[in-house]
Amino acid sequence: MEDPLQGESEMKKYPNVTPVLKEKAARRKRQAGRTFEEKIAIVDKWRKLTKKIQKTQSSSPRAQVR
Amino acid sequence: MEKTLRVLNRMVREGVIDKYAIGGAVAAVFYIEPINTNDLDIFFHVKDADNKLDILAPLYDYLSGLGYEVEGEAVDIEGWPVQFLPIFNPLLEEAVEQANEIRFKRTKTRVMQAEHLVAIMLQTGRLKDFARIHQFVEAGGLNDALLFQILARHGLMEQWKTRYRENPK
Repeated sequence: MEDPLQGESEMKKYPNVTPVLKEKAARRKRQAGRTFEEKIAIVDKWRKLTKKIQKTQSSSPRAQVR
Repeated sequence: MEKTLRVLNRMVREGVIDKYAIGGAVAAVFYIEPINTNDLDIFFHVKDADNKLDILAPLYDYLSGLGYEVEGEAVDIEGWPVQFLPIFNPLLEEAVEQANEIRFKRTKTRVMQAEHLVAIMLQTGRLKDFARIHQFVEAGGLNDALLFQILARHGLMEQWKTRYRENPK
């Protein structure tokens, strides 16, 4: 009789993402190596974008219903 | 942010605050990759801390006189919400005293050392602090000897060992 769990116990194959993760780590290191001024400029952009999104969300009709 | 820093330096020159250092996420950005943050944390020495109930009142009065508005717990100074945090323990006192003097563009400012920031994050102990400690360790560049001295001096060695064993790497 065929084992009903046989299929489950087989090792599922996943792609090797090591190069992707390595590239991500390298990118983070590159970012960290930028000058303070450059990094603050990035933070400032994010901050303004977040503020804009929050403003849009709070003025949307859906947000006003809450 | 340069304009913001100029206002802070003016506050020191005019005796509104004694000395300050940038802490929190903006200080972390000096050492690691950019982090999304909303405000600039400024730790400062308070003059006559014993005598005042509201220690931030003189600062707010001064800044509102310059036209800057209070937004919740921060003051918007030239587009950056600045959160003023009076020094409230010996670790912060040491971190402000020993902060690195740097230049942001053409303006001088002071940023806490990486090892002090890590110690403060360990002491604060929120999840985001622990995540950020990992970012510092991952980025390299921490002076282990200096970090351990600071941790030992401020009674944080056990916390460090519990979380990170002996070696941070």
